[in-house]
Amino acid sequence: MTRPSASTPGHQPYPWQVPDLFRWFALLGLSLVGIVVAWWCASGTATFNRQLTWLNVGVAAVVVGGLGNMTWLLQGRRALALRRSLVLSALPIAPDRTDLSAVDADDVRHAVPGTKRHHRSGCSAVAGKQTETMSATDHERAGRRPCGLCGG
Amino acid sequence: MDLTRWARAQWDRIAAWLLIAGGVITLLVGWWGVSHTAYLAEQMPYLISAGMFGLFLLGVGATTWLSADLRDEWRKLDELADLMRHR
Repeated sequence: MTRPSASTPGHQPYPWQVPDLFRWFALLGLSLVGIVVAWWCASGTATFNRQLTWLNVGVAAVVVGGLGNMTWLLQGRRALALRRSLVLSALPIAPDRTDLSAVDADDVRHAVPGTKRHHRSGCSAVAGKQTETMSATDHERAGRRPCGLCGG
Repeated sequence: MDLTRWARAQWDRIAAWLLIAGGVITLLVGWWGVSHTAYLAEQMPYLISAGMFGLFLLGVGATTWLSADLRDEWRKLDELADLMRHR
């Protein structure tokens, strides 16, 4: 069975193909016939044991219908997953994390561990000292305030 | 939105609701039938016809509703593929 490609023009408007529809309808039809036969035969007898047999036939018929529904949905989900992977793999790749970190470089702040101020790169207050490097937001979350010299 | 256009676009959801409503009504009819007789032999046909058929309708209704969701996602992928084609 052929499945659609990501961008083939003129593909089918639904995740299913005609044979899938026929299979679903065939199982539903079988289920309906089973229910009708079970009802017909059970109402034609007053013996409980015979009615119980036809009740089982009815239950089996409902199970057949359920299997038809399940097959239909699984078929649709499978076709959709295939199409989704085809479409998404054809999408242009998003910018990676290194590009974003370059944009954020201006936001980097330094602080000497144990102190209450954070500083911009090149601030004389942290020159030559061992520092923790984080974003300004993270420093403020850690309880630090901007440096009075460089403005943090 | 125009009701006819909406109904045409959402025909499967409308069908799903009709099937589910039909299922519930059938189950209620079956319950009514069973509760009006004390004989097991008379109750059994109601159980098989209305009970089983009600369950059948509920199952088909739920499947139709889920199919409509799958169809929606399929259409969104269509739009995405079209956008990529015309870039």
